[in-house]
Amino acid sequence: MKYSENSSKFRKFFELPSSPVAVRIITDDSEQKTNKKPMRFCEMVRRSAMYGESFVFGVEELTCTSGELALGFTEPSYGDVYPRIKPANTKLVSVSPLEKTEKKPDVVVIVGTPRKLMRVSTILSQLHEKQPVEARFKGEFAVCGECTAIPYLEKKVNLSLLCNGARMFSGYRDDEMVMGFPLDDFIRISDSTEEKEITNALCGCIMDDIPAGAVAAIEKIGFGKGTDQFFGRFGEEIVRLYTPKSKDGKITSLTLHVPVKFKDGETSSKANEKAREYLQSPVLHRARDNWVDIAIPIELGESLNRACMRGEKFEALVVEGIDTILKEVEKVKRKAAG
Amino acid sequence: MDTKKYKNVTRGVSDTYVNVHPIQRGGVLTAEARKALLEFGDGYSVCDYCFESRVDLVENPPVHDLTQDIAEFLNMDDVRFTAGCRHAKWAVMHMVCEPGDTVVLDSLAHYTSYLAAEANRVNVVEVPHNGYPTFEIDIDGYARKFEEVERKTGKLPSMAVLTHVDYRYGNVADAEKVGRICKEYGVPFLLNTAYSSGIMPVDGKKLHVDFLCGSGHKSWASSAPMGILATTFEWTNKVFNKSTVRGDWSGRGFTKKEVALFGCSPVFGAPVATLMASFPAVVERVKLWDEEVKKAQYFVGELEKIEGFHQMGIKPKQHTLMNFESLPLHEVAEKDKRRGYFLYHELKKRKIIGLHPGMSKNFKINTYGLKWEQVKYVAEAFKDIARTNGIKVED
Repeated sequence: MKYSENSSKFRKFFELPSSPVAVRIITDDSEQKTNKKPMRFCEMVRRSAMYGESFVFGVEELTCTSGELALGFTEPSYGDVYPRIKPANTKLVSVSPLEKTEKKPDVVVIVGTPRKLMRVSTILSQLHEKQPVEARFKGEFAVCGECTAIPYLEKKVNLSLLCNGARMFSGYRDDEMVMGFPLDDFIRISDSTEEKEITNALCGCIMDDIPAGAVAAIEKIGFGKGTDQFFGRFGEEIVRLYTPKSKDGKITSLTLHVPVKFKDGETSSKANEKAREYLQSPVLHRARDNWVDIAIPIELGESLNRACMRGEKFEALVVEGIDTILKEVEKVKRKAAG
Repeated sequence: MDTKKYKNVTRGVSDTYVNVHPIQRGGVLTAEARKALLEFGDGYSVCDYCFESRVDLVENPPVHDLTQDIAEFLNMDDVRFTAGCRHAKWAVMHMVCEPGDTVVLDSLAHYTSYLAAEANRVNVVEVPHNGYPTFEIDIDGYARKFEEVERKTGKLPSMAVLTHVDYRYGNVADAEKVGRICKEYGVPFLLNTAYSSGIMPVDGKKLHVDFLCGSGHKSWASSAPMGILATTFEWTNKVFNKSTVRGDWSGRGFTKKEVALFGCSPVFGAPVATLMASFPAVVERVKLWDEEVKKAQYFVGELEKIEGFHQMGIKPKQHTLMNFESLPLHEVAEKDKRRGYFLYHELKKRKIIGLHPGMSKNFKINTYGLKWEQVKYVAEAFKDIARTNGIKVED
């Protein structure tokens, strides 16, 4: 089904036992009614959320006059009421669990406890530049008006503490509340629940705890992040940047590496021996099979996270290290060739 | 619900492909195991003549004999089968450690080692590795960590875990040295041999191991889920402790069932049958390990002829699982519409499968069990891909 993934992502993330409910306002007679037994709109929503039932109904199947007005079946006779869908052109309304709907819903309604809706509000606020969630409710016209008509007409998410009718006749428990979303808002929330930093990682595992800001700062210099280290091409060489950890798990230094390849182990050993004569501290070198590893440590004097916040200063420190290691590598190659 | 997609499932990979998947090489079934798979594919198929209420005690087919022979093969005293190596680790920690205890493990351990501790509410303390480019575990660090744990908690860790061959770089750790350290401190030693036992010689007693866990589907040419848990008689009763529970109303009891193995390990059909059928070949193949290492070293040499290719981890290679840096391929992939899938597709075109799709900056590969001509073919394929895409290759 088209929206089943959105429904399950949302339910999983917010640990919602019930289904989000898709509501469609239909202004023509293009669809067949499916329920013959009259009931309240709010009851249909709850049954859809809790038991997976679907309904397509007209005004004849509605037992609540508030719902009739709020859903736009009827214009009010005296004065106006708020909230309601206007003009009142509604012919049918479809209510079904989101995961079972094929057609694009107008509004998605969720039923949940204050704790669950609190978590939804947090994400919602983050998606709206941390602005508080504004809710308008008055204990009347709740599921039909506050959580359907408002999202439908005003394109705003709204919260409802429900109404007497819903609590007395439609089975809503004392600890339940309802929230209505324009479809786009609901989709944005459900999409934002994907834990990309986890699902994109190798084997689903997080391989390090390098802060995102530090990764960005290192990448800015020209390195790409691999699973184990950063690496980038500088001139003719591929330079690796590694973030070693101290015994207590802190990163306060970096190391730059360029392994230099020789034709065999004997040649690399000789080159490494020779390097002792001209490579000086802090440049590190050792033979490893047919390679000589050249490395230089860069002491940050503070945590990597803080060092990266220093922008150009951090960049200059690493670039200086790159220049140094490239010169040393060139020296090793030249001396070995000579 | 569309159930049609579940019918006639195929892998989409024919026998003519060369599989170099880092975790699949040692689990490729032998011809005998494929035959056994058909014979014993049904769920409880090895239980036709189960008279002792436990799969490890079945005499026909000879599962009980198999446990004893595997114990002998690993030079351990007693063996049980488990639902994967991860179950074996969980079971040992469950029976030996108490919640709140500490386990010391290597920082290249498989995630299931961490999760086994977590599931048993046991804390983990890691022994560091030395970082790029060799990522060698600091073996002496075990002693330091034991003392550190004792200082902090007032008691030694309740277990040490070492990954014999790590899954990231294929480094072979000095298990014997860790075993000696553990004996010296009196800390029980669990060796994870998921990438070693079944493909290379492993002698539990020589390595001073108290618990040895292995993976049938990773390294013993068996179907999944198949794990092996071996221990010494010193620990048998504790680890394979039998059930004492009684139903308070019915009075029912299950006194032959082993608690940490869920009574009887769920390996009743294809897993244990294929393990058994492959076992004779496994006994023989570990004797050829040196040749496998030679092939791996040859392969590394060939791939490192490609500009920018560099094998990470200990050199020269002592295991067939390896990890290469391959930045030039990544640079090509960046410009190719297939992006990270570039290498995967280029290899598949050449009938080579097993590289993780999406990986091109570095990749893991395993040459275990490939014939020499296959090793050469795969190496040549990489070089061909490199040349075709303008990456320099040494002659």
